[in-house]
Amino acid sequence: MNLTNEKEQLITQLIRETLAKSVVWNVQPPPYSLRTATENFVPLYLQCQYRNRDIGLYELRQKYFTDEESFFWTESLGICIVQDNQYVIWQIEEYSPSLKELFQLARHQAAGIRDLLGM
Amino acid sequence: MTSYLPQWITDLATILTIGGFIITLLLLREAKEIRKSFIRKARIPEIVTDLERISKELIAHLQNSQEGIRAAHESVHRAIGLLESIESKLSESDKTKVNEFIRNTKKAIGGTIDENGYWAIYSSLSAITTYLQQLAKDVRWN
Repeated sequence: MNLTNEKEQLITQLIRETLAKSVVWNVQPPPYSLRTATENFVPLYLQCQYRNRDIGLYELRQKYFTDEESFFWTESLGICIVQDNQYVIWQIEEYSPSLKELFQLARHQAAGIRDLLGM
Repeated sequence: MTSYLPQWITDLATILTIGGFIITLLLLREAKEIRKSFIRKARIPEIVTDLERISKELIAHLQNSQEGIRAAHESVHRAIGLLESIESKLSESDKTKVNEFIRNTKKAIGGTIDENGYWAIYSSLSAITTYLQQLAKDVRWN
């Protein structure tokens, strides 16, 4: 079982569906398990329905400690499969080119910039 | 020829010369490794940036029709060229991953390949770029 390959395939598939406008990304509050008992901050969470599954895409800000009390914030991206809008049953957090591209496309679609421009 | 030194000094000098030669060889090997490590430190982040740009281009090309496929073909060739340039500087285990991508991609674009095939290459390219990103982080500690 090649998990890297499956993850990349899923992200690529979602890029294709987003470009074809077959999936609709909506801004939503992050699921309960992503925002509870953690200091991580999710500035933007997008969700879509794909083949009867809820797929979440999010920006994540995490503390990176350089010493006991000094830290700076780092940013990465995440993709997850959510159940009942609160349980994250699968997730990957990284800053891969495909995930960056998918997040850009999804936020562009959710922002409705093309509608604003009347395109 | 008459030697003014006792035999034991000559023997010691010979042993030290042989020992010195072995140390020189080891140091040369170490210097080569350090050089490779410096090249890795400098080149991998640059190649990652270039591969990210190529991945972005690939998506833009695949949105166009036949013209886009041709452009995608060129982009994939550029990605292979970049990876081939870094391959010799990588360690054996890292080399295997990069070589696997190069071999599979060359095989794919060597035959008849459609849009779906290029999307599959996009997936693999993204995976190998992420792998190199992590490698770039690791070599910072070397």
